[in-house]
Amino acid sequence: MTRSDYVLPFRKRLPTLGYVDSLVAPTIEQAFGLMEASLPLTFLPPANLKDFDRSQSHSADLYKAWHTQMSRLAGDATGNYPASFSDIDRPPGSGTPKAASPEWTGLPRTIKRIAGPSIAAAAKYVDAPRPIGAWDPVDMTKYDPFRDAHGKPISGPAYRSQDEYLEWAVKRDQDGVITRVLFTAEGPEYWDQIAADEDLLLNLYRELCENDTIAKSDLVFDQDVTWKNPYNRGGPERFKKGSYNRYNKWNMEWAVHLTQPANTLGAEVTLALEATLPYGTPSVTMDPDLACCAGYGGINRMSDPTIGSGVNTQVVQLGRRVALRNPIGLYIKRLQPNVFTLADGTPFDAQDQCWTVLRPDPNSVTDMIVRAQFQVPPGVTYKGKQLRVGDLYINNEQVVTGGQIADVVTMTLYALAIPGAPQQTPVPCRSRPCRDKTHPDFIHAIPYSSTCPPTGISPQTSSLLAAAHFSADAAVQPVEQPPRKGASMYTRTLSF
Amino acid sequence: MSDLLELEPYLDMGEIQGNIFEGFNKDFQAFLFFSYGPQPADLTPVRAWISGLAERIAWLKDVVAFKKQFRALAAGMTGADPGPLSTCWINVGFSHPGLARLHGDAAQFDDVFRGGLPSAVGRLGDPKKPEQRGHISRWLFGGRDSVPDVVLLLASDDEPKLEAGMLAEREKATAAGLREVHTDLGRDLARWNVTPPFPSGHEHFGFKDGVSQPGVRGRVSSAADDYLTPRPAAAADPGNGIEYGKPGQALVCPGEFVLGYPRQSDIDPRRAAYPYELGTAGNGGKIAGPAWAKNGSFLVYRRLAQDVPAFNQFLTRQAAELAKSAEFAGLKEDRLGALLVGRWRSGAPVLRSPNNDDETLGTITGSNNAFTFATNLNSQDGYSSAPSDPEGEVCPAASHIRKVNPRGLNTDQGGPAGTLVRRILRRGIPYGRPLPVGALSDSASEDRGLLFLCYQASIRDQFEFLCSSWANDESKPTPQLTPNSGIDLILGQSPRGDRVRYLMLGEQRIETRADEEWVYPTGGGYFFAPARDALVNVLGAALVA
Repeated sequence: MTRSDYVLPFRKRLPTLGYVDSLVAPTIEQAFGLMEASLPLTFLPPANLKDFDRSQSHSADLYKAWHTQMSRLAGDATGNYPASFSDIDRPPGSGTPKAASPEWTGLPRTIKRIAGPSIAAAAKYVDAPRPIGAWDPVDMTKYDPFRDAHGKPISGPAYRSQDEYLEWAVKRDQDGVITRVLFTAEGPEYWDQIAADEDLLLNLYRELCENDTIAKSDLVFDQDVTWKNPYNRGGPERFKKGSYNRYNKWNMEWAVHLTQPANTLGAEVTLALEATLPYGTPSVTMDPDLACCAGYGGINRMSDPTIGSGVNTQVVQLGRRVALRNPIGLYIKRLQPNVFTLADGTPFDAQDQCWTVLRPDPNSVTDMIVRAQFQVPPGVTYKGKQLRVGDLYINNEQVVTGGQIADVVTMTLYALAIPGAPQQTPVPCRSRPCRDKTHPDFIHAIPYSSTCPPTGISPQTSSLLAAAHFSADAAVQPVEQPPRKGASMYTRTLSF
Repeated sequence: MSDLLELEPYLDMGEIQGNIFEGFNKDFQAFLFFSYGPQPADLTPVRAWISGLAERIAWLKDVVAFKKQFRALAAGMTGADPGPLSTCWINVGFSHPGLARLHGDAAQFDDVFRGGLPSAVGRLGDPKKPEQRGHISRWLFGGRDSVPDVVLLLASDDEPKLEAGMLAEREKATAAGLREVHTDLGRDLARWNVTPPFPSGHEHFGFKDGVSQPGVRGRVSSAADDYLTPRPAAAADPGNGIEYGKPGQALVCPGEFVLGYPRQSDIDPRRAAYPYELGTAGNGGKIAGPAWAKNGSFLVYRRLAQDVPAFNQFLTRQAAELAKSAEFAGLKEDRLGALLVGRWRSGAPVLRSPNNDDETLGTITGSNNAFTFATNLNSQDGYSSAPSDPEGEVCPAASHIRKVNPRGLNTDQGGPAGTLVRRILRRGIPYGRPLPVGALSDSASEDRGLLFLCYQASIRDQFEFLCSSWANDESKPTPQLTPNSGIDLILGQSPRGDRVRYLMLGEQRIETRADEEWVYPTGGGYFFAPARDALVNVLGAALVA
């Protein structure tokens, strides 16, 4: 038994139901013959990935460091949120937890609201990676670029403007037709951890990017840099020369892990914790009012309001406490069935053959998928020609973007709920929803004290309202914010 | 712009076809499907036929006037049939190929409508294998090579009048060169001479159908309170912001069903959103159709066969099997059926009558629809109030009525307002002679089922969404509350090939196995029901070079 094996909980599987959340963890005595108090359960890598086992010399350290990092994010932070708990420290006698698994789809709903209803038209805005500092069509702003030691912007770091915890890379043939789409839901923090072992990092990149020529230097910063991450409430992030560069070119080409700055495990945890608070007087429980009131994420995204209301319902309406299930991660649940057709409208029956789970490996797949691809296998033909992804149709629209497929990928996370939510004082509402004047599907969060005109609101007016509200707030509240630690550093809400 | 957001706009009574908002609700209905004939053909006679048809169609004003008269008469003559008012109504719909041959602007309709039902069978989860009943290759009409160009809908309270109407319409259509490719005859099952008599308004499995329809907002005259959907009394407010006509009849803006009107806001139940854009002056990809699509609606027609003995055998066998378990000891087939549907056969909701059918409750309009799943609803009608049931402990999360209308619950799409924009106006009617309720065999092996019709402003975002994203998904529409709760067993179109299905009653798993679908398609199509102006001045007008 390796060290990593002992932390794997058993899961009881019911046929066709999938995994149920009656976790039956091995007792410590079973695992090591030790006293239970001496070795608590630990946080596992997302999807129980076994990458750390491949580290030549640091395997145990990597597991330990991961546990420490996740404890800081998810374990310790629960102390500030009385209706939350840690899955590795369940209250005794709480019984079998209830499962709560919000679901959403992978194409940013924000861009669908701006540029829909054609999914292809909307997806074109977000399909390709973009340099950090370029205009972001989803957040509708420019992030600050990376800067060198002298504060000068540098080029190179890039990201994907895909903010529903799913990102993808598109491969095309010489005719520009899509042949393959790779999807990832792996949080960047996990890859930061892998980067502690440079050889492991390089080997994994070479495997996932199918290229043995990748060099270590491709994956690290070549100088000291700083970046004002728009989704980090703390100060600028500093990266030393030689440290892992999440935003490297290989990641852009192959979607190794998530890069949109809100797509982090930390932000996921923050959102879930903040959703355990009651909001508004009288109580606000229905979306999108709840998401605006709480301000725990992007209100036009599909993921954040769905996750938030899923957690909040458990606490406020059902009186339970909530934890994210260990191992904490963002997960691909499945590709929706029967969505593709051929050019003549007939159903494409080989869809299941095209969808391949890549991580975890096929023998270890549970209900937690973090990497997959869609590619038509050789031999699947139409009118005598090999079919390509780009020859298929979804809702009668030809597949010209990877985002169209992302739109039919169901995402999820796993939360657990146990009885015993304490009484909490409701948090006053921050905002209320108000439609955009020219993109009526798009919602602005305007200050709660404002009134939304029947005809909606322009982005300019929305910004002015927000600025006025911010000024008023600043006048009555201390400017200095308490230091934020752990999960609360990382958010799903733009910090500027 | 503000009138584009009017919550209760005046509805163009002379332009909108009558079956859309009001529903013909006639006991006898016929659906005549025609083709223009092989291409190329001179469509001049067809255009003349279309133009003339506009004069015979029952428009919204006709149906509203009739129903007002009917209600007045019925109020004075309790239970009496308004014989003198009996009439034969006609409406029409065109498939995309049928429109495209008449007007080039038909290319502006959205992709899903243009693709038609043959392109949708995969998304809807229809049987995949040619040897399976329900496979598109076995359809009576509407398959890949047999999409009709036009459908005529005829309806009457009186069978001879319907037959006379059919005869007259056939003559006119044939004279214009149209070829009839299929006919369906719908009939309220109470109008069959069978013993025991079948209850009115019930479908072949015996369940009362069409209990819950949205109430369409809008006014039928310039009077401020002359609403299309009456508001007899303020329905109990369950606290989710939704307004109701009758209890459970959520009010929805008319643009969700007819193009050109304010749509329902999906963030605020009491607000309207801008209409779908029409014509080339619109905003890029947001166009839902050509300018002349105003006052029109998309019609989904599905000819669904129902295997009544198979369904009843299934209930009997599965109930007996489940009754052996401690969790379901004593389970009878009628309760199992009620759990699958969410209502008892009488129409009484499981949420208000969990253990037994309550036939009186089932027949009381309003009371039989007073529940939200989300909150306790304190009804003052003498029946048990519906409890809050967010986790499907009383009414299973996978029950049919909950899958397609989760009412007051937050869903994967957002709050309850987000459910309002998925609603459809159902106008179905059974076809075929009924078997006695609960029959386990049919020696004559007759064809029977439901002619499913629904109107909406977006087939993709309403009908198809309900079928593929909610009904056929094991966790939706409320995965955050009821993950892996099962698919809708009544719609029965499993996206997977296996025959094992389940639904969860709270944490109890009801696992079933059905060897065949009980409900399977045998034809259908996607149609567009144009306005009078479009019929007369666009589709029926002489072609201008």
